[in-house]
Amino acid sequence: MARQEPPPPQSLCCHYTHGAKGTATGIIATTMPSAAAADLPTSSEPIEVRLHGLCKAFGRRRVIKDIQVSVCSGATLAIAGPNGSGKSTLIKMIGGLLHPDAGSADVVRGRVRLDPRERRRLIGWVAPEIGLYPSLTGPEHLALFGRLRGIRLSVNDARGLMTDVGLRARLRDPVRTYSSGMKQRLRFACAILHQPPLLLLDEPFATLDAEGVGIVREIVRRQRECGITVVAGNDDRELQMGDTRLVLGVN
Amino acid sequence: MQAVQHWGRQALAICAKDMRIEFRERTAVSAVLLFAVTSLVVVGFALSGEALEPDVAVPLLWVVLFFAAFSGLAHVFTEEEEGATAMALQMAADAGAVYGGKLLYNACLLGAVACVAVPLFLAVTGMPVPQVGRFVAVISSGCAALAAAATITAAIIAKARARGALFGALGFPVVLPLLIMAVVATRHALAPGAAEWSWSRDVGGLLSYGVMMVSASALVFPVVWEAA
Amino acid sequence: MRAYVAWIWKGATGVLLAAATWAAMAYVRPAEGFLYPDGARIIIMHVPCAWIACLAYVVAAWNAAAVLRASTAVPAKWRAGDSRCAAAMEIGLLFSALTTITGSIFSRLQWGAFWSWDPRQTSILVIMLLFAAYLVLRSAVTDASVRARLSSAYAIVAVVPGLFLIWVLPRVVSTLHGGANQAVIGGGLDPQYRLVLYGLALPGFVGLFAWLMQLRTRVAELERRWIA
Repeated sequence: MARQEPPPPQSLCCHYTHGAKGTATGIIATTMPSAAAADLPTSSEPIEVRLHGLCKAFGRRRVIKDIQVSVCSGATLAIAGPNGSGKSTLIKMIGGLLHPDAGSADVVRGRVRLDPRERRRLIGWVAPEIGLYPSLTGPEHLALFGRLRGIRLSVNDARGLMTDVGLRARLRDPVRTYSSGMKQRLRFACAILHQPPLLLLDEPFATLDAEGVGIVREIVRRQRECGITVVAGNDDRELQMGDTRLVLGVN
Repeated sequence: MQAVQHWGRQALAICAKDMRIEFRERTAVSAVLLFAVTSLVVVGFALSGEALEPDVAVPLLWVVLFFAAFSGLAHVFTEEEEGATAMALQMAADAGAVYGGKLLYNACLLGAVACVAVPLFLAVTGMPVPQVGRFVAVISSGCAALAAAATITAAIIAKARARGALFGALGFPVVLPLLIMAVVATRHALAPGAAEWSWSRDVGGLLSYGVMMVSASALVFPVVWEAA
Repeated sequence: MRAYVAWIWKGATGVLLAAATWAAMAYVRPAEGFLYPDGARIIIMHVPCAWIACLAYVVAAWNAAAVLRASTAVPAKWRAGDSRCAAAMEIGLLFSALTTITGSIFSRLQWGAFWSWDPRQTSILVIMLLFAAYLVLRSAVTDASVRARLSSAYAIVAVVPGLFLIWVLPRVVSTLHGGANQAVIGGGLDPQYRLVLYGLALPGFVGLFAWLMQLRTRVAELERRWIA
């Protein structure tokens, strides 16, 4: 069961602490990747996420029932709910990884409804279940995902991104030496390197310290300028970032 | 055209990533080489310097290559599933490019193993190779086709979250006709004089198996990759 | 109305099979030129079993293609196809096992050995392994839609070795094992045998296949509804 709540009070302010190393302003501005390829997403056309009568069940367990929400460019959707209420499932359906049993989860750009394969190019995804390659370093991850997305990331670009997420000191270390908070920061770096119009964040603050939380808040703030953010989580701080709140309940 | 280039770059990036990881961790290549070398050493010991008849030696070679392939070629997919990195790859890359990259990697891995195992095998069994070109052509095309069959089977069992036994069980019937053809072709290649050799039948047969396997795999891989 | 149609074709199947059995035992004369002339009657069971195994595979592959093409969003589209594919594979396993057994009995009667590593014999054995591997894959996956997709993908991929086994291999390998050990029963079949085979046994077996398919898919549907 889902209901839309009125937006939270506007007195909230973003706390952001500068880390000792590097500045976190201009996260997207400093990491302009050089050379584009065919599919760099154009952030000029507005995108919209529309959930209409969405239902999903796993076997006999009805996880999501009849969700109706529409989010436009510049807005942030927060999905709340207790454990097992289907937050991750909903995010996966928006991202096109799962198909709904009934209804639709559409991502529309301009007037065109994007199918799951096209959607992927416009999405940056952060979730705790996303693994990283233990023997590759952070910049190697960025170079890989950049190459896959059609972006040629120079060494400086990669370094800039790593600095922006506060991992400057670990440029040469393989990910297996990272703590869980560092891995989460690297996930953010991988998610934003192609400037996606749609950012899907599943429990973004998990394992992050205060500096990390600030970095994420800045990313979400930046995202308002050019796209949509969908945040799912239990933490109030996560949910406060949303303009619209969707609450899922357990039947 | 640009789309094809992009696809190609994606495939190469994935292949390079897997090679880099393998170079650093060396799990698959160790398993495969260890298997091949151990079995050949056992054979060598059993023969104690005597030569082995080609009729017996050739199937033995392909058995070793088959088991080497099926001990190491699944890693490229099972590690993605076990390390939970498959989802990020699925979001960032086209399914076809993933298949291309992984296939290329597996082919290179099997090729590298063959480069070690085949000369060792020839040394251990004392088999003469009258026509090197033919022999190399048969071994290369056989290994390429074997890698193709192993890659799609690995993709299927990785998504089934299954352990090693399933890989062998599913791979064996698929690969058997290829192995039989490879044995026949290798015998023809090693026969002195050009008695029964035919480029189109021997090498062509193996290559056509490989091409058909790659075509069928390309059709089904996107569905397999995006299942679960 | 539909009940009457069912009675008609099922009844016809029964009659045809009974007639084929009677004809095999009483009508056809013992084959000449065989070691045990009476034993040749088993051909009337052996050949249709082989045909039905192939038919089962074609039906399974057709349904597998339908499953792969179907949109995963609508379960009804892929469930029916998947159910039929699995049923066809099970029946195919049964009939290929029967083919192998009757073939080896015939081989014993005629050539003195149950198994002679003849390419045709090996082919049917490997086809049987393909069916079995498909079923093993199915049992390894718990989620229904993932199972449907993975097993259908395997069924399509397995078409490649299947084609090679049935058409390419007997031609390639016969150059090696030419001569007396061929289990290929080409033309030159006694007209009586041919009449019984094509006229009675084949239609009867096809009807039996259709009946078994219908029963199996019905059981699967009931299981899904009441047990899953």
